[in-house]
Amino acid sequence: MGGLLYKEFVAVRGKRIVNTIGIATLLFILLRVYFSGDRMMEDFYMENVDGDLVNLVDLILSQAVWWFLIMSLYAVNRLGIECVRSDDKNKIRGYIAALPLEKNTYLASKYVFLGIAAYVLLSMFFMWEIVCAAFIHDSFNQDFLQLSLVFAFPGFSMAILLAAVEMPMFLLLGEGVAAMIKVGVGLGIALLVIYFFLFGNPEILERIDFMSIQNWVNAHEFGLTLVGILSPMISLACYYVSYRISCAFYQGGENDYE
Amino acid sequence: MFLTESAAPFIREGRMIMNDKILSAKKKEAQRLGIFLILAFSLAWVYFILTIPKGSTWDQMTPQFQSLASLGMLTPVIAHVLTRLFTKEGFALTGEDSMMLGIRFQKSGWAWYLLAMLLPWFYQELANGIALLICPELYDPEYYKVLGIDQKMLLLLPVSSIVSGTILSFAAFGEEGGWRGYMMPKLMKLMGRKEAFFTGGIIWGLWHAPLTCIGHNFGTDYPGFPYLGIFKMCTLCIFLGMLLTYMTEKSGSVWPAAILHAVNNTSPGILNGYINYEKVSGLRGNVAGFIGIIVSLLLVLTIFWRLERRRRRVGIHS
Repeated sequence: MGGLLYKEFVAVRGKRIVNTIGIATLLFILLRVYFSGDRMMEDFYMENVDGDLVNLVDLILSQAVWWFLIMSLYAVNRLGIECVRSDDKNKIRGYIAALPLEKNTYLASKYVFLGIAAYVLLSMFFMWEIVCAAFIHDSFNQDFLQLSLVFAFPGFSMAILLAAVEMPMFLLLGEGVAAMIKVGVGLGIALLVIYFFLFGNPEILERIDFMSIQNWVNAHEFGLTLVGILSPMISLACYYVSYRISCAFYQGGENDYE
Repeated sequence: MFLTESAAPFIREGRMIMNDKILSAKKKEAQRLGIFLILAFSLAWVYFILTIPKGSTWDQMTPQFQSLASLGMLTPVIAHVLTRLFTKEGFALTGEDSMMLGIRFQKSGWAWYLLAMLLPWFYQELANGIALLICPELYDPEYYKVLGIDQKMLLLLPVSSIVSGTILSFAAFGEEGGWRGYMMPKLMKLMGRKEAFFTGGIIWGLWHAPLTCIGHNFGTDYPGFPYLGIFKMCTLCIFLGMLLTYMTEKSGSVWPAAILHAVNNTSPGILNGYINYEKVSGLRGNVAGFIGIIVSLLLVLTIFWRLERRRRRVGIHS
């Protein structure tokens, strides 16, 4: 299994990804520590609509943490596809038959690799958040950053759930057909958005701002905690079911000469 | 008789060579362990000094700075990696003298991960129950309100702690990757099991000393602060270390130990919301809590020990 995981790591150009994240993390820590909230001069503060003083450098670095979260979710999705894009069963049936291990182990290595990648990215996100939060001194930026924690677990759960749907799709149908289905779903969502802007009530969007989201989160704390607990459990259960489905797809149509 | 008499010098020489080899191997392991401990302690203590504001206690630090200081938990695994770089031991992930990073779910391997998630809840609730039996005055029916926890959230606390502890176990992995992944195997090679558990616990407890001295583990308001706190920490680390080492040995990986450590740190007990140590002055409340956790850990270890003995007996007879 270790060898297969290393194969996946090389296949997704893992060294380049690790180096990029490492350099970005180092740069972020240096910037965060150097431009610490309490060292900043008055020029970097401005007043928001509610009269709170907001440190602009803190705001930029807090946004960097948000971007890391969003990019991590995207990375989990891309890594899941990269793991399986060249491995649909019609292409590599002979290759798997020649390996000195079971088909299930080969498939498990892809799921385990993505699980490890998601765990590492989530851990890195929390480290970024901890380092950023320690040097913020105004409450607005603290709340803004804390909001990212609320969405971290459900976000990663969603990414794992998407991977659980896409991976068997790519393995069974092949890269071409699966990509077409994905584009079709994306187009469907885009059409819905266009319909909303043409015929819906876009004034709803004007009422959504940071404070309204913050108030909504405070009002639904128990529900969000429940979502934070249940979403990883549900997504991991679906991830396991996806693995069993992938194994079943590989089983069907295979000539087993053992 | 003839063969024994003529072979005796060779046997003696062979034993001397073997003894020299064993001593040389032990000396090498001791040197490696020494490098690791120097790195683990220096990296951690420098980090703690840099991140803990001068003169403040743990409670005086903001939650954000507490989290920042807690990232010092990553230093043992960093020390582990650096030690392997210096000593050229290699970075094998599984097997003998490895970093013990393998994950194995087959052949009931998954059971160790499940146990790691559930055991802290079990022994912490038991510890709280024992503390209440010894010192009923600790009971405060509304203490959870003082802690700012909703009663509904309190009932969710064990599951929430298990889920968040498991998923965010990277900090605990930072400790276990060093202590169980490197230190304990080296100590086992250098001395007997009991001595290794005792020594490992003392080392681990002393490593926490800068945090214990600012009140991270037991607060600052107790007689004998901070020396009694350091003693308590070392004792706790001995027993918890035995459980963590056992789980690492049986699973062949540090990951169950990391998960158990992480869930333990999130304090998953519901009774935590009803026990108020500030209600009881002096040492009595603290001693009750301490006895509670030690007894519950001993109980868990005894159960594992008896199961292990039965398994070996069944193995011998079959």
